[in-house]
Amino acid sequence: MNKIAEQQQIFVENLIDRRFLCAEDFVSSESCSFTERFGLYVHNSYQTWCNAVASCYPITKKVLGDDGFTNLIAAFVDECPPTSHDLNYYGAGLANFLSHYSADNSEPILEIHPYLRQLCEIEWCIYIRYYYEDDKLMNTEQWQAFASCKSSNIKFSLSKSMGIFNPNWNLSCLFHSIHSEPQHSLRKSSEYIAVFRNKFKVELAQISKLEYSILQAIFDGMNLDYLIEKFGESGAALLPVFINKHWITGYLVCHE
Amino acid sequence: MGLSLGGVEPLDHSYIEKLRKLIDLTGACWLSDHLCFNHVKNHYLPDLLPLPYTEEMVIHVADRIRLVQDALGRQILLENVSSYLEYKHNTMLECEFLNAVCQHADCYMLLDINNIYVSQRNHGVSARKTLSNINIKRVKEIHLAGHRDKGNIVVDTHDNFVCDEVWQLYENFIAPLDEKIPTLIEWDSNIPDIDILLGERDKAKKIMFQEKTCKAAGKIV
Repeated sequence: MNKIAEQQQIFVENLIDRRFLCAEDFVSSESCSFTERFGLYVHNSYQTWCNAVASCYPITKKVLGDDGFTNLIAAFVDECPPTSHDLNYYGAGLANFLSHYSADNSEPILEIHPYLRQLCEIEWCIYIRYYYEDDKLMNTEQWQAFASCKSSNIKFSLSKSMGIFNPNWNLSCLFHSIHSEPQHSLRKSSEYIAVFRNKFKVELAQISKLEYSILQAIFDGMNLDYLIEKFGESGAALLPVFINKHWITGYLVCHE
Repeated sequence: MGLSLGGVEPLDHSYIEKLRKLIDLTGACWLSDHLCFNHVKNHYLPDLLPLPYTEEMVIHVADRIRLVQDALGRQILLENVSSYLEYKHNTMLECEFLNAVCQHADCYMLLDINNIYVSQRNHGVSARKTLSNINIKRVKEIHLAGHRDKGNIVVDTHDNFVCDEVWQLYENFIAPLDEKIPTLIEWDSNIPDIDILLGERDKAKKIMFQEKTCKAAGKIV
């Protein structure tokens, strides 16, 4: 390793680990200590990372309160510093990190808030979809062609900016109470949620079990034949509804 | 841009290609990055980490800038950073380092006068002297900003008014110039009302036009 590489590696390792052991490389000053000077770089990096993660999880912050949330984010940043320069994608692993954090913590937050992991997954989905491009929507001609198409071997494409969830908790009430105090003891009841971005806006909608199942089947690449067989004509009747909602953005007639 | 121009990791050519497409799409006049490093192995630091001012580093950074410029098909601007630490083995002054890198890389300079002020205050050097030795012909854009003066250290925060000393340095720097240099005031944290921002903009404008008027009248300032 050349000298420049070695110096930079030492600088960064000391910064990440907050060891402050590279003082001999720098001019010392009576007015301001090395620890204070180097500490500015440490603080800037950690603060930027913490802010980047925190901005993705506003509801989780409300649930945990300022102190609890700050501690969680600080632990996450310590354990999982970013591995890309693009901080827009930093914070995806918070839901997975929660199990480990909760087990090690004197205050096991997953026991207090058992829905937190699923909440984080949905919050990340909402956050990341904000940056997606809007889909090209089906136009009238495509819609009419689809409606008159005799082939049942059609595969649909769903909006790329869509996510569906089936959490064990009634989480949508948390999202709707963002401006008021969150309920800390949520009712445990399965619900179906779709997260969808359209025109710079990300929306969260409660959907029925049937809608969820059809969307999941489409995600899994099932064709119209399968959808009719599995969900019947009433299920197939939902497809135009999905097109109108811009959840289905295209279709392909497969020739197998 | 986050290219870690002073770093040792291989340049990210897919990222440079994205930048090239972005320039084509937006018709951007200039593309700039900082004279620093922020990527070592799998660590990406969201900060502008300082480089030693040595001949070896001049060659190292200039070679990387040339590669970037070749890939982009255009010259870039290089921006000086605020620093809180000074390497013991520096063999050059900051102004000499900046001039040398720009010359070797044949790139231009984005001169951040607040950064010069912050660094020089932190290292006990004269900002006025540093600026008077900057190669003006290479400067294509100027940045001004506010900082936080903590007494024993000055921190580049972009959350405050441009201070009087920085305004004065700006005025002194542009006074001898024949052309106006585009100037940007950076205020990206604790952002105030638009009227305050426009007031700062007007202050910069006034200094620019004052110089122009004086020059037109043949008056030496």
